[in-house]
Amino acid sequence: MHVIFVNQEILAQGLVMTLALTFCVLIAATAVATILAAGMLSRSALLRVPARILVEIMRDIPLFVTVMMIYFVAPTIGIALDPFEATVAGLGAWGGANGAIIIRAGIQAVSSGQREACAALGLHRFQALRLVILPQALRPILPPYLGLVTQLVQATSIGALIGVRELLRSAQIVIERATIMEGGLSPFTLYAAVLVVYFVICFALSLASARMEAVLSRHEQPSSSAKPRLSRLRLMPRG
Amino acid sequence: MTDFFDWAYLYDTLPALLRGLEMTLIVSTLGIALSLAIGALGATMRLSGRKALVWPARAYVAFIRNTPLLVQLFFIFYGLPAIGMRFSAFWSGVICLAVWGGAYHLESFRAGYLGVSAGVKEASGALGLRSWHYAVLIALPIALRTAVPSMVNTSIAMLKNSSYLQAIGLAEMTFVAIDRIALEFRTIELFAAICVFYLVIVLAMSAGAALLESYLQRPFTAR
Repeated sequence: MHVIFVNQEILAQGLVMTLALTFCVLIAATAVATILAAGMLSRSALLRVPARILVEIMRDIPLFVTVMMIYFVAPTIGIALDPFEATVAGLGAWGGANGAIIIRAGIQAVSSGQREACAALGLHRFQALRLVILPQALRPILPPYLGLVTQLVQATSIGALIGVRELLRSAQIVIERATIMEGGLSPFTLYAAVLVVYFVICFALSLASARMEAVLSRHEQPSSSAKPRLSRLRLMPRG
Repeated sequence: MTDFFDWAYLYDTLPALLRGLEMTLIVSTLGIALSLAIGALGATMRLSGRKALVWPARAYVAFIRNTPLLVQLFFIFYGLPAIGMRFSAFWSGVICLAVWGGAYHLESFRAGYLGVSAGVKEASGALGLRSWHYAVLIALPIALRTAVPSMVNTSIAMLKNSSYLQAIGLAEMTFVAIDRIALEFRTIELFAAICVFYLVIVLAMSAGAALLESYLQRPFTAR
């Protein structure tokens, strides 16, 4: 434990970097997700098919490979990215693809009768989307989206592998110093401490997600209790 | 770099990449098999209704799902030796993948089991079946049908997550590619190759899962 208190400053800086990384990734992912979901729901096959292919590819390639690829390939085609930017780009693309799936599922969950009613009332397609569909779609979207945020917080640890000084990398730096000076238990203590910090952040987010789901669905008919849980598992971001 | 995409180079590197692919497949297969066992055991504990068994299972799921796989991996490979538990890179990888996937499989098993309608339980009670007969002979086959899609999803995620094992120096596919990049700077060829390999494996697993699902749905489809 001593090793944590001695190095608390560098670890705290790492945590701040992790949070900053999460914040940037969240903005990038949400932007990408909105665009891809719009593409996937488009009436034109010219937009729909590429959006679907892109989403499928982003979900099927390992996230770690995506981040590495962006970091290594971008310079060869003339875009210099620092580790932070490469991590944000990689996680943003991956989070965007998974977010798009969640958004699409949420919009499709609004019953088609609503859309028909809008048409009957003479609402324009975008008016219908903004005034009727989206407010109802938020209910199925928000809880799994918050779950995705949990995944993104965890995924920022990939940044450590290409040199972003976030929480994991800071712990590694402390371990390298401490092992040279005193050896012993420091890898165990520090990695355990890092696990605990991630757990506290992500568990709080998970609880918030579950709570939000309970609150948002309180007006729904209490049908079978296991089904929504399974549907959430299927929406789980893939790796 | 002379030209943008060097096919001859790719052809020369293919044997090394395939050896990496072999390692990726071995480590993932072992991990998936072990994780299914952990998931089944954990789900049994979670559904047992005894506090002493339910709470460890709940804590396990919550902890695994809310911490990064990469940190879990470093904890197993670099942290545990400090308290005398030393595993090779290969076994650290297998253990890490299995423990991670087990938590997700546990939830799939559980959701499947809870999804079996109450009427089925009442019917088996009315027929005089004991509770464990109900659990093993009636509920389990029905539960597996519902659980298969999310279990396949988890298994696919595990295969993809095996790329993290690059970070502890296991010579799987991503490791081979990044190792080559450090030597030869052929980034585009190497990343294109491993992306195609991952895509093919994941799409094949998805296709296999679709076949399995339609096979399991046989009793419910009209002929």
